Amino acid sequence: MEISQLLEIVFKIVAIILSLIYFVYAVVVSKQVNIMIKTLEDNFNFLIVFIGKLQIALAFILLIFSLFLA
Amino acid sequence: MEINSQKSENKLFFSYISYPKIKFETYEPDEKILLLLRAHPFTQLGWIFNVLAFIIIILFSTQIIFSFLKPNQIFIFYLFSLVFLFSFSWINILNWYFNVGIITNKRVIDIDFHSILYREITVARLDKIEDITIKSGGYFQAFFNYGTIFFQTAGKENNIEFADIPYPSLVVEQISKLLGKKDGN
Repeated sequence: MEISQLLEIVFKIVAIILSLIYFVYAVVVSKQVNIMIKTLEDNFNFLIVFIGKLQIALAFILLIFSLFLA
Repeated sequence: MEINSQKSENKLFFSYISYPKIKFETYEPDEKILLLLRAHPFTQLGWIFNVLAFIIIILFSTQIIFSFLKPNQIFIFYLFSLVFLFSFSWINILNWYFNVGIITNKRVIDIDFHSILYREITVARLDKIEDITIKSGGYFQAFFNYGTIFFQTAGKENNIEFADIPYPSLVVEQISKLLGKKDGN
């Protein structure tokens, strides 16, 4: 096995592990955001919830790219 | 100087809001919220500079990385960098936005989230406040007029701290007025 092939495999494994960790992290942060907006309610809460969900979507996209593109 | 007006305010990126349209967890129906305080925006510059520094590092490191990686890997690398920057900024914004001090006509409430995951809500009734201390020192605190207020409470109640809030002396003035009203002065 050539070094370049080995590097590719290592890159893919690292990318998948990191994106999985990030996905879990994004879900935890999103849940915590829900607790935060219950603690302090104002008119901009919808925006905060939206960005929280956007982070999960981003994490999912990252995971898909890591699986199929890296 | 009178900053407060009776008009309700609802501002997204402000750190001193009079009569805010908000509710909080231990809100009592007959309670009137007078002030919502967050850390002065200047105190947030530290992490903003970190984000900018990281962008610069990423842009410069591409010169080295391009020679090792394939185009699809470079794309993934950029995506990870972008996600990291987004998350780092988002966590800091959340920390700033939800770490607040609230003053009502009855109580002083300090809501703190440590590292997003740990929540701490400290409440003190106005009549339990024994001593108020303002700590403001240094060039930037004097220039931008921000500081930390410590509320010492009677008995076993926890002391409250509003860290790096703008116009600390005005806040104390506001509370003193409330305490004066409560004492019938």
